[in-house]
Amino acid sequence: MSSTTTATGRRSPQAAAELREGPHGPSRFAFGVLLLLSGVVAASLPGAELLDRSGPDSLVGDAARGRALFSGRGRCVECHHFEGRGRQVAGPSLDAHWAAGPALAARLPLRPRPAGWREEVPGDAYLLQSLIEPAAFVADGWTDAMPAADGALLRLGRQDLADLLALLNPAPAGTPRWIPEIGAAGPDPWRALPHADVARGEELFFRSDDSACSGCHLVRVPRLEERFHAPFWKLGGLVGPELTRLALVAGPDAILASIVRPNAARTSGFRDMLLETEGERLLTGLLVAQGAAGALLLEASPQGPLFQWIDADSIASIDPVTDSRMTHVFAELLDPGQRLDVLAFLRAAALESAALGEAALPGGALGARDPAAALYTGRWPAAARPELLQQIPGLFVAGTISQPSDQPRNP
Amino acid sequence: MRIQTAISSLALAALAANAAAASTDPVPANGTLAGKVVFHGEATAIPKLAKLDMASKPEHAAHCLAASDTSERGMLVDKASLGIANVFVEIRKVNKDEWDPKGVVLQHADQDHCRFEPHVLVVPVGADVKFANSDPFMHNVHFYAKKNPAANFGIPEKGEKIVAFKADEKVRVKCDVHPWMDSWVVVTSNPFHALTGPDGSYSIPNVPPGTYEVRYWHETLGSLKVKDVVIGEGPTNLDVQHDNGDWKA
Repeated sequence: MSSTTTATGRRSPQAAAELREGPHGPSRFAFGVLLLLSGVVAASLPGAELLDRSGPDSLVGDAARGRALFSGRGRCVECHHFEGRGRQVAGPSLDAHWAAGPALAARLPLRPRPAGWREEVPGDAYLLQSLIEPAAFVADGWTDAMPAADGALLRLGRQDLADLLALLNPAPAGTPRWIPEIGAAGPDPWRALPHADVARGEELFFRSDDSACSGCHLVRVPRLEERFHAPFWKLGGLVGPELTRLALVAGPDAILASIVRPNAARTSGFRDMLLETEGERLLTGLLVAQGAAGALLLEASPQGPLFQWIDADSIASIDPVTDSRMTHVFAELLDPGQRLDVLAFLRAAALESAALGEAALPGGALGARDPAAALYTGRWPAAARPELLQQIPGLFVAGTISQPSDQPRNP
Repeated sequence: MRIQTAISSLALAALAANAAAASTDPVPANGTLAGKVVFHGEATAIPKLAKLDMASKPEHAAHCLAASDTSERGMLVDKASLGIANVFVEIRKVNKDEWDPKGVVLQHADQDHCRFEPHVLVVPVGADVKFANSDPFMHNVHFYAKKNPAANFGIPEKGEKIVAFKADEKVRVKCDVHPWMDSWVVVTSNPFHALTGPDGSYSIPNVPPGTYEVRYWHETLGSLKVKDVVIGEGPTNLDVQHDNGDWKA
């Protein structure tokens, strides 16, 4: 076997691995032998073909249920056009690509059936692969925006897939269809996302837009500090929870739910506060610190995190705001594909941060290097005075609010 | 904005006049409290108004930047007269028993070219207030309030929503889609009020003669109380300066 080399002549890591284990590795080889054996056994037994067709892997689909899935739970209609319904938004019209038999017949040879897959109705394998591995073959002129049908977003089961096949690839009623085991790779909820785009998600997260996620949330990995030439605490706002490692502890469903319905689950410690001054001015923000000397509020601003100190004798009251400042607007601002891109970025950042170990954790060694870190890790001393804020370079501080007897007025 | 405020003041003045006419006792002619809130200093010392970063939402930038005014409004000082706009003035403890503003005035707050119009809206307690969206994309309206219920609702393009406020309060109103959109709704049950115009002047008519406390409120300056103001028949003038030491921030 000749070893694979890159254009520079160096052996690639992949090639090195193949040299050690053979082109597919030992486990795949064993799997192939098993398949071969089972095929031989099935072919040699009388009635085996009948057994196979009605065996546990085959299901009978129902076109009516498939039609309901298409525009309902399956959400196909949000991107595909079929039978006069749905918009041709992010995917090809299935009328043109699929239902027209000759067009399908012309496409089938373009795409080899995945190894180990059976096909009882011609075209089923093509469709199945499009449903559960959407990135494997993307129609000309389209991007791989589609989430896996059996992934965390859509959660379709084997019977659902059979029903969709019955709709999209008609066969006489009662025809069994082979459906692979799905989700067999383990309960990895992030499986649905390989087709989302990390780079696109990163642009959405940091876009130069006040409604960017980074306006309120921090994601910090050294790569991003280099990209933006900024210390970590300027990579994002701080009035919302830091999201650097969120995707290690929360699944895509939970994060999606938080994007669409921020009030449903709130992180403690991030409650918006309403501070009323003695002069009936109303200030909003996160309460970073409160002590005998006064209170420090943190607010998002187009320039970055904005701090404001209010002397104790200027404070009339401080009350929590009942609803999340994130509101529901992100459900409107990000379309479903963009939400998945943001998820993919969060997942990539979480894995990147985890690979760096404890040093990258909030309040870890990375944070301790910077005097501003105390502000972001909740370690701002309650007895601190506003003068300390001035010692932190690059911090945006709104004018201190105090009564005229203390300091000259600066309107 | 000016027209709406004027209509509101006229309606309130008519109500106050009705209240006075309903009394059977001999009534002395009512007085008027008028004056100006002014910036004390040279015109060159007037704080500069920062331009808003309205291009920071790229897909809406062209429409937003077409606004007639793209600067901050937290401290509007007229260069010629040195008057300070948007100061809420009220005379405290005037008999207002017969004033029932519920359902009287339909105020109008618009979201137009990514600005709330007007910047400060004075509404009577209980009155219907229409929040509209004249822009071709969604806005939301986020009330920061303590005595009134907090609210946060979206308004689709060309849409509107009618709300009423139940308690006296200065409510901060923001839009989270366009974070520079910041405005105030001053809710009051006091008919003896005014909002200073662009030249800082205000006028509160039909005040029964007496000795009162006058209060001023401004979103940036804070509030100021002037006690023992004697209002007789005819006009009474009361000017205040922004650096009067009694302002509370």
